[in-house]
Amino acid sequence: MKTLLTAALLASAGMAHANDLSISGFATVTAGKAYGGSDGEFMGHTCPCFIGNYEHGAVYHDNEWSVTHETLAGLQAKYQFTNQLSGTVQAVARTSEHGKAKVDWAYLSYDIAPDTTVQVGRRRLPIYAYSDSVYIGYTLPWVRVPQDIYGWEVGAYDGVNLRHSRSFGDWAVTANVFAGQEHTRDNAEQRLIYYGYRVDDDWKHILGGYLDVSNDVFGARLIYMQNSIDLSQYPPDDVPTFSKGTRQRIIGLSGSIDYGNWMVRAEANRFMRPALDYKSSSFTATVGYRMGQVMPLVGFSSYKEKLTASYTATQNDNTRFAGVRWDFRKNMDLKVQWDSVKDSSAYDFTKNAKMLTVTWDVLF
Amino acid sequence: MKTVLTAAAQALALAALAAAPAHAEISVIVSSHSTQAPPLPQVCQAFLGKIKTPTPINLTEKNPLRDEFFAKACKKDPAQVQAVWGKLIFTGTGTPPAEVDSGAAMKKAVAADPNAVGYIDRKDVDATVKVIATAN
Repeated sequence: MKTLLTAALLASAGMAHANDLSISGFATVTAGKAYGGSDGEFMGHTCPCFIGNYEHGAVYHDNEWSVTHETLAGLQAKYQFTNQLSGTVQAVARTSEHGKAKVDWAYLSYDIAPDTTVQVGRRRLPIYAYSDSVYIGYTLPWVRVPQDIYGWEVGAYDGVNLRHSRSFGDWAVTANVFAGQEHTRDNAEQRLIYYGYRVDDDWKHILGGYLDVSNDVFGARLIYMQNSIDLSQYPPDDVPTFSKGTRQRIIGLSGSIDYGNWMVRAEANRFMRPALDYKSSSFTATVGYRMGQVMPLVGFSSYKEKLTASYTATQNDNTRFAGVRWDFRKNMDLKVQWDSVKDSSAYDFTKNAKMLTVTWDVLF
Repeated sequence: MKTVLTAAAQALALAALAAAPAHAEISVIVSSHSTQAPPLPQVCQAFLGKIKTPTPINLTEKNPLRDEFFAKACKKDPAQVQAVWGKLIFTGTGTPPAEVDSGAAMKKAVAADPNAVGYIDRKDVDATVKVIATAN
């Protein structure tokens, strides 16, 4: 946010054409414990087990408090080459990956017209309403985005993004299209949540778009995306298997209401992989009520896979949650959240669990 | 429980009122040379990074008029605004407004740029700027 000061100084001096480097960052410290629910084992862990983050394979287990599953810090550098052209790199270090910094974003951004921006490079896949800001805890009402719906194994891509925004009276409209691909070697989610060994998961021919409309009370967003999946599996005592070009289609709808002190967030998604006879639906809704610096909220999320003749090992879970966010200082919040997961999957998955989470978020 | 909540909400509301700065009538301004007169919802969309034109100019957070502007004109409290800007900065979807540190600097910056929009205390308005909306 030092950038703002620099911008302010330059703007007040009447020289807005700055060659300008800005550094900003964010951090989240998350402590949590899974308890209650079912005993047993999940991926080598003693349960109760709670998946705090699918994408990075973070699982709470062993009835123990832990701060090493979701804690993270990110640093971003943005260089403004000209008024139209900028370059941005964002690296995030996660305790779940032993603090090794990973580049989540790296892109060039160019304003081809005042309201139209093209971006080239590495960005988050905008499948969900919050997928861009999943790891910017301060921008979320929850301690984490609902994992029943945000639990996908590929979260970023290399490619091109084109965005156009304009105002129609009280409404602001953004239309966005994107294309690209992503290669993940030894995908964290596939190893830690599903297979237990190395799986390379590549999403190719990604093509999608979304339309976002909002006024000062309502917001809605519709997204469509398609791609093909190449999966290479390396089971330890067996021959590797390769599947190529599995087509996938994703459609999602989200909505928000901010009316007076009330806040409502809702989202539904559908994933389809016709060749595998696979179809999943996910849904989440949250209602919050702001009282000054404090906002209690309650919500629900659910993930269901359709049982078909050839797809029988279905995963089905749902989660009820309640929490409170306290904006106790500028650019900082504290949150406490309680979750209760019911897992009725057709195979041995996490089973039921309850979860208590405390987080501290900061922007700097 | 409901009474407790209501009482708590009232206490918070009173505290907020007590902490609020002296009541100011806020004028939303553009340059006197400007041909644009965006309606207030569009001004808020620009300040919250939903659209890129007009170019919003903000006061620094030390200036109490800033929180008052967002509360009165855009119905957003400081934490909500900060969360929106945080999202813009870290997701590459926009840039928070440039900042100036006084009403005088605001007036100068807005007067100099026909695409700019800003806000000042009504009593500071002069011929270099045009008032396009009032928030109070």
